[in-house]
Amino acid sequence: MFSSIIATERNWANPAWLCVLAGLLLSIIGIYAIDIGERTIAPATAADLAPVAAKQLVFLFVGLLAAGLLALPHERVIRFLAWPAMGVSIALLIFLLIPAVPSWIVTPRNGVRGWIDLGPIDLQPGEFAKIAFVLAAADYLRYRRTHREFLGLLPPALIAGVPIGLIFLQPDLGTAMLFVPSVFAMLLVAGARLKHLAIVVLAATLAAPMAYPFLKPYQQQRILGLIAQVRGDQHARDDMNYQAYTAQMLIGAGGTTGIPDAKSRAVIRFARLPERHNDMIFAVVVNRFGLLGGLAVAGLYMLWLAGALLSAALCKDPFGRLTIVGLSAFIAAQAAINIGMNVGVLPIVGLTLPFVSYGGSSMLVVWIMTGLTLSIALRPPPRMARPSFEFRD
Amino acid sequence: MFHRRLALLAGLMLIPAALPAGRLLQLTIAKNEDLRAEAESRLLDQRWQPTTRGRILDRKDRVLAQDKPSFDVMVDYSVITGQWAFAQAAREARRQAGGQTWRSLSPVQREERIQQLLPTYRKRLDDGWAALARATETPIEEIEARRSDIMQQVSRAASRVWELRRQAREDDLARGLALSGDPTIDTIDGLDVPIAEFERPIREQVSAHAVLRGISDEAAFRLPPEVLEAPGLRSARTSDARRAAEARGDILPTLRVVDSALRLYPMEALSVEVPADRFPGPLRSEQTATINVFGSLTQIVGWMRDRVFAEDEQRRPRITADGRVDRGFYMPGDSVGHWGIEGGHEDELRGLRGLITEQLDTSEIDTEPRTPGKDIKLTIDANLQARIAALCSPDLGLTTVQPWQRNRATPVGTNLNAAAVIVEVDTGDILAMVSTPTFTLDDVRERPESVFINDPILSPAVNRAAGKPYAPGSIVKPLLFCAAVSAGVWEPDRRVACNGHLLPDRPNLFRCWVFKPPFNTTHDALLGGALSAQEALAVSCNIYFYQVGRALGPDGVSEWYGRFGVGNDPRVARPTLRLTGSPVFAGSAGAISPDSPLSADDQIEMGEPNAVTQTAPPRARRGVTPSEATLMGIGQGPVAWTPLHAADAYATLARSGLRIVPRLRMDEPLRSINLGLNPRSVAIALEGLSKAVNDERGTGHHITVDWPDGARRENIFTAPGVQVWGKSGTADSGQKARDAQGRLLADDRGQAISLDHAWFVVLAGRAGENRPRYAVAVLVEFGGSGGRIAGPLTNQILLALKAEGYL
Repeated sequence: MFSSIIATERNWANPAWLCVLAGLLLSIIGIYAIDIGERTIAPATAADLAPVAAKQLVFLFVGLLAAGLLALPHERVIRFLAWPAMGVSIALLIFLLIPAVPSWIVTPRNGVRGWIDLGPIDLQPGEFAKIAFVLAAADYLRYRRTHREFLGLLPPALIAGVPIGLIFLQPDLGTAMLFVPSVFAMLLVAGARLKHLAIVVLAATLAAPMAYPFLKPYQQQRILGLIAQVRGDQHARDDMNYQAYTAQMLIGAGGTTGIPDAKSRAVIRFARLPERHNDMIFAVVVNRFGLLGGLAVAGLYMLWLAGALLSAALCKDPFGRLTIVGLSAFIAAQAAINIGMNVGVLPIVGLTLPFVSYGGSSMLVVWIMTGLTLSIALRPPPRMARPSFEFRD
Repeated sequence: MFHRRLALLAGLMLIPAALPAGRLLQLTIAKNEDLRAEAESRLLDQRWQPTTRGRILDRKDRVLAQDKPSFDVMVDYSVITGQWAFAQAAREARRQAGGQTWRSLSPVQREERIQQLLPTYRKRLDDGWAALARATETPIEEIEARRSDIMQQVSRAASRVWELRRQAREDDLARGLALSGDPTIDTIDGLDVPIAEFERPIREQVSAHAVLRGISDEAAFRLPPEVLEAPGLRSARTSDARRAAEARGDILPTLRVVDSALRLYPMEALSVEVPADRFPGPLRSEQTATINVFGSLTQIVGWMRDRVFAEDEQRRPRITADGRVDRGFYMPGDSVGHWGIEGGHEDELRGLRGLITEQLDTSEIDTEPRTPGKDIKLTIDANLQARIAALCSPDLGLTTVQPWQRNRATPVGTNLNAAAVIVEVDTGDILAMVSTPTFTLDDVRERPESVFINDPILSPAVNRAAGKPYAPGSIVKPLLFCAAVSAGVWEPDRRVACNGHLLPDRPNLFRCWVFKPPFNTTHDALLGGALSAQEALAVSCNIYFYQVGRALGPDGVSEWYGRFGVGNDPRVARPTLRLTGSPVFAGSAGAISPDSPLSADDQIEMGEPNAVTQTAPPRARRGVTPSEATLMGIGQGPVAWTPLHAADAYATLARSGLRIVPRLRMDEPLRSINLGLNPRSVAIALEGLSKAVNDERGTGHHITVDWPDGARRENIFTAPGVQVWGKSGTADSGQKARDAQGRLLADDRGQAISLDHAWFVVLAGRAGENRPRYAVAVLVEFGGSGGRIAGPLTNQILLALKAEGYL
């Protein structure tokens, strides 16, 4: 029984270790960047870290532990828990939206009902919903062909649509948006016809502007701010574009190789960059390490994705394949949006940088994703397995 | 297929990376320099240090204006408005509730908690204001009034700025809409542009303001030491002692005391002893009168205003055209020179601020020292100026209509406005430039409506010595004589018969002043024959000088007036007094503006074509006519100048035609032009001027004073040891005398009585030297006879010159 729950056979030489390495390096960079943004003097030891940086270190250890624990169970156990996890996530997302829930349990932050206060930590169900969705969608699609038809795209869309809608109502537009590339990626590799996917993408692109009137004023303002910035309008740099402009200023100031530690700490401190240890942490990294540092961070994400996609390529189990692809899409999309936000090509939507930004829930979730990827990669391919998602285009 | 799709997915993941990567490259490479400079600029804390404004001195180094070091009490705007209390209450309420709880509260719940704490902070402010009032011994009402002023000023400034921003935003959006090319979109109403986008706080709403200016050292040191701002140091975190004092209400939050300067005008009020033993007629007395003179220098020196206008900022922007920072730029709360020398020489007086730059990350301090303003030394003698102003005081009666002056146009006892200018012949220095009535700085502050009247006759703000034009009358005669001889159109020894009127068959035109019914006296009859130039000057014969004017002709008359400094010809050198507020009049000679209608009196039929007819197009400039040139020979017609012009012209005469442009600053280089006057004509003119005041037939020799026991003659000039050359003038102002009901007053012949200005211009020197040292021009508005009214006043001015050691 033990061997049916805990995988005993291991394929230790697998590309998922690249994910672990990249994640670890990104997390360390994140801890350092958080400290830069919080203190004017470099720490001599870990004990000298800024409190938030020290907390992030703890979150890292918790994340590594979670990743390790998730690497243990058999894949079938994980698949068995997919739908229950999805159910629990949906229930928690609905729970967040119930108005009668007292504020000491669900504490709105900046108007978003996205966290459940568990005392020492806050639980963000939206983050865990990402994982639950991927597992559920992977389980749904693993041996189906219906998604090869246009109408067959509906069930996966519905599976994604429920958490998207509930998260959108919090309202957390950024997190809700991330489900879209994930379901798209999973359908793409699961064999959905390209022309069907192209139609959906085209329709969504054309329909996107119609959503503008339904956005909240501050969300509209962010879009207007981006438009103003693109046009070179400096009127708003001191108010609605302040965060974006300051981030870009710090990025530009970093130059090619960055600014020395002490100077960077001073510059960042007196620039008064908002959200400098979560949403805008990429600006801190580039200010300190310059273009090379920014490219290194991007490179580490590519390393993580390479490890994950290679693991998916080597994996023969359809559930495993789709799970890795779905999780990778979340990581890739979130990283791309956050970096785009920091450099000023996307409006600010409140998404953190995976592994790097401060946050217990987000750190735990990305390491769970890493752990799941590793878990799938560690399982040796079955000797006899029918090919999955091998259709003729 | 799966692997193909996986490869496709990998490719799709890379594509979106191109745009952020490109932008990253742009920021870190292309824009690195600018953005790095901007980031590092935020590491600099720059603090400006005030400078010392230059002094204004008189020619004997007496201080007319100077800064006195003092202190200003600065308080942040949020404290002035009281908003500070709300902000502090909100902060404390949030702290008490805790971050998470606070975020969960509704706006109404938050407001309730804030309101509970608000009274504590309001009381702190009230106590702080009261403590400030006690420490500085300032009435609390005065502080409240100052707060109110500041809020009004800032509110007005904010409205202007927001409107500009809103307009700029609308323009941008309009441009954006125009680019869209959609003809159906012509307004921005469809776009929800939040007010917050342009109603952002302006600089004045987030900075400190001076609630008290120029407090004394004692008052400053009565305040707690924590509020004294140490220059060169960045404000450290609020000390515990200060926080405790603020909590007790002993110190107003954000209050600090900074170095400042109070502008003082030590000679604005002077007491002058005026001996009356040489006054004319019944005004004479053996007693010495003490006259308190206020504001004798206000028109010249000017004053400061404590508001910066937009034009000041435009004139002197913070960043110059070449990108440098001008350390003399204007900041809110700065004082700016206004009026007179203070305003006209503001840039020199102002100086440059010091700049302390602190590198926030390294605490290094770099200091650019302040540059004090330049002292300006005037040619004016302040004591002499005060003496002359005292002489014009109504208390002494010299500028009051007296019965023996036989002024039919103005009632006895009327106080008259007056002006006097003294120019030193050798240097062109303006020793005095007096205009009465004048005004004080208190008048400007407390009763501005009494100063800035829109009436050139009544307003004390008008500089009658240099800024208001008057017909010169007979005082121009020696000048035009010299001009005509120098121009070769008149023989210096030529004699002219005076039969009372110029035109043989027109006895009512171009008359001599002596030709009056019933006797119709002529100068021929009085002097026994045709008059020489000297005699004509002495008795001020109009006929002689009508001929001179005719001989010069229109072009000659205009040209020579111009050479003497009158008119708008840019080639004519004029004094550069640079007194803002009351501009210096350029004078006019024959230039008639299109909009100034000639009065009926000016339309004189000359027996020859007169261009100014009722059918002629009224106002294009058409040049001086021959008739007008004739009139200008006696200083009437289309010519007007100021007492400064007169003194300048006579000083030129004294220098035999070398014109030295009058100057007001000692450091102004001398500018001289040789007018090429015929030396013989100058000698004759001076001889004539000497006769005018020293020969008993001269119009400037004596006055006749009515006493109870009969009329007596009194010499006008009685200053011992002073040699005088002079000329009186009675200039038709163009206005007619009216009674209290506005009806015209008529003389015995039934003709309307003209209101005349009284002139007297003299050259004065030390007896025996036979060399004029000073030119003195005196004007009494609507005083009537120059000899009777302006003459005695001029005599007293010569005595004042003697008292100050000049003669």
